[in-house]
Amino acid sequence: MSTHHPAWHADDQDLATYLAGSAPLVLAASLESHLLGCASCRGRLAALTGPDEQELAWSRLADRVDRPSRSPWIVRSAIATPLMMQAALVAVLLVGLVPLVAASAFGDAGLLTLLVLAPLAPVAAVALAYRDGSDPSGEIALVAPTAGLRLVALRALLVAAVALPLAFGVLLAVDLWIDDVPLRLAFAWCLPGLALSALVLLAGTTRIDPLHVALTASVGWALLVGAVVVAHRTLRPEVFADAIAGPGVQAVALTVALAAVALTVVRRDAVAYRRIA
Amino acid sequence: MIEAIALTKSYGGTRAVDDVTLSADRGVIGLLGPNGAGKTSLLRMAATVLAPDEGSLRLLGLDPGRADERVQIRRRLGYLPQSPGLYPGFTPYDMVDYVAVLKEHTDRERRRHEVRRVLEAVTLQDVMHRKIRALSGGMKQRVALACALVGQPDLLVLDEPANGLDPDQRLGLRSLLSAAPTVLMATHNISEVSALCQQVYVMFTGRVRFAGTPAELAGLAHGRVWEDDRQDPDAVRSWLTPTGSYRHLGDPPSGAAVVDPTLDDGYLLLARMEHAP
Amino acid sequence: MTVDQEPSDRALLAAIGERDRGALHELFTRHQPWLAARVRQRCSDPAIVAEVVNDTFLVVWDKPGKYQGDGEVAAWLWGIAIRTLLHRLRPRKSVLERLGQLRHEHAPSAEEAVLLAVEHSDVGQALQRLSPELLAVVRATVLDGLSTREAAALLGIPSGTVKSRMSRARSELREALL
Repeated sequence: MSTHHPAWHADDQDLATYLAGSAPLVLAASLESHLLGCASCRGRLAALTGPDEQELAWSRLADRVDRPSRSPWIVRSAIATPLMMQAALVAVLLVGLVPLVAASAFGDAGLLTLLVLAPLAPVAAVALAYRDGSDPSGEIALVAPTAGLRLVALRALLVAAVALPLAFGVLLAVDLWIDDVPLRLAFAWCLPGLALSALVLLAGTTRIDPLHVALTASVGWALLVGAVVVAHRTLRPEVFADAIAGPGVQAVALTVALAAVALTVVRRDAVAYRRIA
Repeated sequence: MIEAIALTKSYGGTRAVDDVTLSADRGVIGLLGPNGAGKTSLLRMAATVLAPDEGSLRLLGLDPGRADERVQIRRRLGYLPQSPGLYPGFTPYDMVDYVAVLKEHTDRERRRHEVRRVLEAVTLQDVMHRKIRALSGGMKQRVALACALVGQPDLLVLDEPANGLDPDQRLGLRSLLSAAPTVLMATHNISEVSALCQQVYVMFTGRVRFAGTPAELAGLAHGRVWEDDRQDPDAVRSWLTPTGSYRHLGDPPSGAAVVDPTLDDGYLLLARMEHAP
Repeated sequence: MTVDQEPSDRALLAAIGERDRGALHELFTRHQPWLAARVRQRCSDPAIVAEVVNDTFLVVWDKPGKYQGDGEVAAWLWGIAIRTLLHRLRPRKSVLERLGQLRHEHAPSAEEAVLLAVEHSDVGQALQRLSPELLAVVRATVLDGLSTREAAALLGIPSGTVKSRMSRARSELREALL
């Protein structure tokens, strides 16, 4: 950088006096004004200070600069990866928006659509957690000690933790603005949803693709809802709620969920070698 | 540190790794061979990604087939896969930090120092806060290498670590690897073997055809390399050297100018024997 | 003597904008010594000096785009440093005060511009004759580029006093120079 003062440069003696803090105010002011525009005098001043001091100051700065740039709660916990969170968000939006639009347009039919789709949010969460694409770092992450069921379960839980409140929020929105949702209906889908998700989780310990299981489970659930509708010849959600929220269906769902989770834990070892071969 | 006895791994009908016995204690062990020779499959078994179909494998004195011991191995393992996945939207710092978290480095301060240490070791300190998608191929390769090095593993399994590195960076790799206790690396670059490895295994079509020191591999061609100013149809292989003379491999005719063999000569002779009927 | 540095400070700032940590290191190597020395003239606590310099470069790292592209990068750095020091020594009390501050942004007068541009000259001689209190005010407002309010905060005197001392300094300097 060119200087404004080609004719004049600070001499080393003055710079040393300035560094020691014993320069008179006018000399100090003069030097300071000159240093702003003169790279060469700045360089000579730097040469007069200890390199150790600067080294120390740099390491202090580097400690502040060298931090993860990603939002801390996602990556520092290393549970969910951005790709997965994006996919989950899209899924949640679909699950949330499609029925909302349908409900406002077609009333009861829309509510039924919501009931078909709501349990699929956690199912999608688990299926996503198993996808290879959910972690592009692939084999690098796979050979980490935390890999395996622990990581898959944590990822699924995180996505579900985002998805579930949203699902409830949509139900609440329907209840407030469009139609009354019976309370038991709002909760009836939880256990079936859990059971289906647990089945997908279990599939990850076998050679069966969890995505296939997730799709089968989703279709099965939709058929079940359809069967209830056909059997009762009505679109009233209350009828469906009676069928699903009944103790029999809920007990079966709970049993399936518990059994599938228990089996998965027993077979957790198989997750580590998941479909790599 | 690595004890493999009669390892076999098949995909469908083909044996990718066929009855491989390999034993390595300390130092850098090179795995040489053409593409498709089974190097990557063998490395994936050594990295606990793949379970062997037959044979016994012990890594760091532990059995990767047992879940608890596999986790212990993974705590002390660094792995560079053949095509490492990196998040393009991450910075190198984020990426290595993520892998460090997966490797159970929970203490934030110590993790920061470790992440910085490995990024400096692969000379990425200047770009460690840029997005990975903006980096060159060689830089990306070094990010993946840093992921493998994080946590000072006792066992490094590296698939083509010098891929995309320029000669200067290859030199840096050399000093990096000499610091690690045990390194198993695959390569198809013979000069890397002579520069890096204390031991070399040559694989063809899933089987180990040579095991020994690089000098011993060169020694295979002892007395079977000669130079001449014209081509020799009786030679197993002949090629023009930069000096203008022809280098021949095979049984030298009487009076031929026999020269000292290099590692290339040994490897080429081995490859020739492999393809000979 | 190295007069031209490659890459230039501006190029370094542009590289820092692309998260080039090496460029930050280079800028730090060039400017940390004099910045630290200059802050040290205004604050005797080494811990605070280190903190102020550190925070200055953190601002550079986080917001290199704040540099408007005119004037010396060194002057811009000093502007950050002196304000960081000010905040560190005398944290502002209220948002109201800060709003008042905005309306009183300091713009150097023609006389001050002369003072800034000339050194080791007649002006230097004239400055030498000023009393320490007046000199301190001149330094804070002219050399450090602080507003009246900021100078008052730094020196621990009322704004009115800064204004009256500055006008006294101006008239004394005018007399000495004419």
